[in-house]
Amino acid sequence: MMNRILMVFSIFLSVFVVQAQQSVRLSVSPAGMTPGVGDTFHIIIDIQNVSGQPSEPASVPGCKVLFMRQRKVSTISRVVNGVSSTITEVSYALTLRAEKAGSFTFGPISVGGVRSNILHYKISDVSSSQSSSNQQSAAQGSNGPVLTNPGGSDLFLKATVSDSSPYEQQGVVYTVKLYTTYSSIFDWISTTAPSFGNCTYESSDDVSHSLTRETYNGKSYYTAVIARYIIYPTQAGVAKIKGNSYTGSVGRTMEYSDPYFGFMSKMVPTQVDAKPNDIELSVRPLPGSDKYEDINGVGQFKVGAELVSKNFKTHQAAVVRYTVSGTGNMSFVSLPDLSEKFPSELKFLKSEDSVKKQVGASSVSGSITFDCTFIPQKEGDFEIPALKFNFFDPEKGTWYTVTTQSFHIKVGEGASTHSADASLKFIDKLQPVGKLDKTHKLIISKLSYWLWFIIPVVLLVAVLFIYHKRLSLLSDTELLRLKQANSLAKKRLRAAYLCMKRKDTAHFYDEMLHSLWGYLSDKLGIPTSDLTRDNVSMELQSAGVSATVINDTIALIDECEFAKYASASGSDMDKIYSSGCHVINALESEIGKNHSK
Amino acid sequence: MPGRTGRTVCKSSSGLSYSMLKCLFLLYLCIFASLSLSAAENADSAYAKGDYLNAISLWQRQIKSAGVSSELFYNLGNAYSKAGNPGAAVLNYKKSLKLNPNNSDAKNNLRYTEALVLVANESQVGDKTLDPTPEPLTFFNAISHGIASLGSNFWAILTIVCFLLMMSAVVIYVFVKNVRFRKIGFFGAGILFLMSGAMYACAYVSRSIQTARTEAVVMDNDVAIYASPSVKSKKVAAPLSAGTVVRLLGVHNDKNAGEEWSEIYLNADYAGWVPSSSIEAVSADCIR
Repeated sequence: MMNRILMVFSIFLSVFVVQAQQSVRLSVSPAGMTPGVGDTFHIIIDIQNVSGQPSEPASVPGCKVLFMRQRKVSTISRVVNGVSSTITEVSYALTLRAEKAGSFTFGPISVGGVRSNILHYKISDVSSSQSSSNQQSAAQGSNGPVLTNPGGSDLFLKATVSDSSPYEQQGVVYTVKLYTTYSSIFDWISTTAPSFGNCTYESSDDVSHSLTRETYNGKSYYTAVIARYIIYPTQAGVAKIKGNSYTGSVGRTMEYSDPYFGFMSKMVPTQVDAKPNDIELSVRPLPGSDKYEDINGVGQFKVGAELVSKNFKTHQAAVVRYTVSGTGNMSFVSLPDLSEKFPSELKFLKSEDSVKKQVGASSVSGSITFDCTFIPQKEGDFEIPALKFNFFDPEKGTWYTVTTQSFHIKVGEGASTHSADASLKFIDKLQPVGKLDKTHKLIISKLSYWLWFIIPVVLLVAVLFIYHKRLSLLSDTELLRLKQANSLAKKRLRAAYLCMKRKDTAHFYDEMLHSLWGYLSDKLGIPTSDLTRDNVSMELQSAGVSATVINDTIALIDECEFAKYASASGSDMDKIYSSGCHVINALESEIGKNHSK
Repeated sequence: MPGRTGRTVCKSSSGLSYSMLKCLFLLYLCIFASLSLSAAENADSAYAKGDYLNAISLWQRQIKSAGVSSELFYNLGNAYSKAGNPGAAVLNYKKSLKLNPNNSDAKNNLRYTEALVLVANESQVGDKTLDPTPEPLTFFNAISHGIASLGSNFWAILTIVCFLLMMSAVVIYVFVKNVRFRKIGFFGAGILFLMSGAMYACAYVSRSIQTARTEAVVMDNDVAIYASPSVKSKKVAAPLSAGTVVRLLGVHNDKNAGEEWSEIYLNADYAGWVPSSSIEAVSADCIR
């Protein structure tokens, strides 16, 4: 019995399983669209009767994966002839940003063991949103909001400006507001950047983070400010503003009748793309702007000035603060050129500004403080001049000039180290370039430098050497004199010497006597004929010659005369010659000594 | 006959071309000389007219072609100063003083510019209690810098003078007989020898300071000092203005980032690392 029941149940189940067809299908959304580079598009994953959910792929060829989200879930239960069948459909949207142009394939992916089809898709070079938006604006022409699929009047974006015919530089607030009947919106992202034509802009953080209810055209909507920019037209003329494209998921409330519970409602996530209307601004030029040198702002402003520093000293930075507050082009408010206006004794250094602003629905308000630093250069009384601040009021269409307070300041002496520097003056005069050289060798690095030491030292050493040698020669005078005397005696006795060499005895003594008498006559200054043995000894005595030397001399002469007539043997010749030398040397030294005295 | 005439013609023509070449060469020389002369004059007149950038480029060209001098660096410094580039101005004044430490105009303008730079640095300090005044030199450094401020050449010449005086004192001692003169010569030679040794030491110290690469000049404005050679590290003190003279302690080559960092020192507060590109060493390549 039990077996039979099981069998029937299994047959029932198998019928059910056969009926419930399993599939995983990939498709591109919006269908038939060729996304351009930079565009956001979706790959839709439709899953039928498969339990399990696809995992977010790490990468998709040619694209960047932004996120994946469940798009819709539907369950259809049927009871036919007592057999109930259920079809479960789950759809996921994989949101991607196209990054590369070309043809790509994605898949197959596997969900719960079921493989999907392979998806072929193309990405074109041109962003389709740009081209399509151009077409749209051309087709529509009017400034009405663009209603996009699939919401229709259920979801649209409306762009507004605070002033559609502003003046140049006037701040205009551009707001994009979302109107929808869907109760929830998530993953709302901008896919293209807005374009503001000839305007500079800054984005504001003042946007809504939750939906509020509002009635528009007699219908109740959930609304949210999704973008707010402050734009400043830079040129007179027409400025076209094209808004961002957005994509996101909305929760659509679906009502259905449940077989068991009757009418029910549930939320179905739906992918939506939307784009706000384009706006044209007709920008008016500032009237009579050429009359003013400086245009410091456009709006309504109050200008204040205060001295932040209280004491002023030379070469100490001081600050004067200008505060501009009001509504207008706060980010572009400028001060007149202070470096020209400040006296040169108070050297203007720099100004630092800090902006505080609030962006309202129709205007920008706030305040800017300019902290202007200057450095007094001299002691004394000076005036910080009043500043003229010119601005144009676009509401009244007139120009205003606000003059700030001027300040008298007394500059005292600063720190002593700097006051010394204050006496310094910049020398403007140039110097003649002079001799140019690629390398400048210092004297000390040159080889020739050392010659200045080496040459004098060498010279001095050489001179000292020579001098020393000469000095030693001079110190040995005895030797010198003997040498000189000997040479004299040799000279005088030369003839006798020659005779001695010849062994000519007869002439030797003659020559000896002749030489001796000649020498004595020369030395004493008496002619030879007047010299006798007697007067010679007397003369020698008067010349201061010692007695022994005189005796020697007389003895020698006697000996020579004796030998001459006795014709002595030649053996005595050497003795006589050497005593002749001795006598001459002795006489020479003694006569010379007396003379020097 | 025709051959002969041909030869003579040929000879005369070659002679003509040679003399022409010589003439041309001389002409070129003249033109070149006048050009290089006029480059200096042009730079001077450009400076006088207030066309400082043109004057700078002309002087820079002269440096490339002819070389440098203390005066040329001084002129460049003036032009940079006028053109509102205190960094390059200080660098050139420093170079001018390296070549001739006695260039009083360069000394004056350097002090003037440094005073302005100090004020600019003080204005960067903000609320912090910092003093961007360079640290005073230590006692011995101050002495050696005082010595170097006269220039190595001055001391070198003084050394020679002392030495030659010593030589003459030796000569007096050796050759003069008078005892008093000999005494003066002897002790004079001793003192002069010691003095010339001291003068040489001064010349040597001056040279090592003149040729040193221990100083650098901040070339950019608002150069932040980092605690270590990386942009990620903590910033030290307040940023420095262009023209601040700092001591160069070392160099670190970051191979990964391909960036070179220099360790600098101004005083105890302002010490750390800056990218080498934002400073320039006061180089002494042209001086030996």
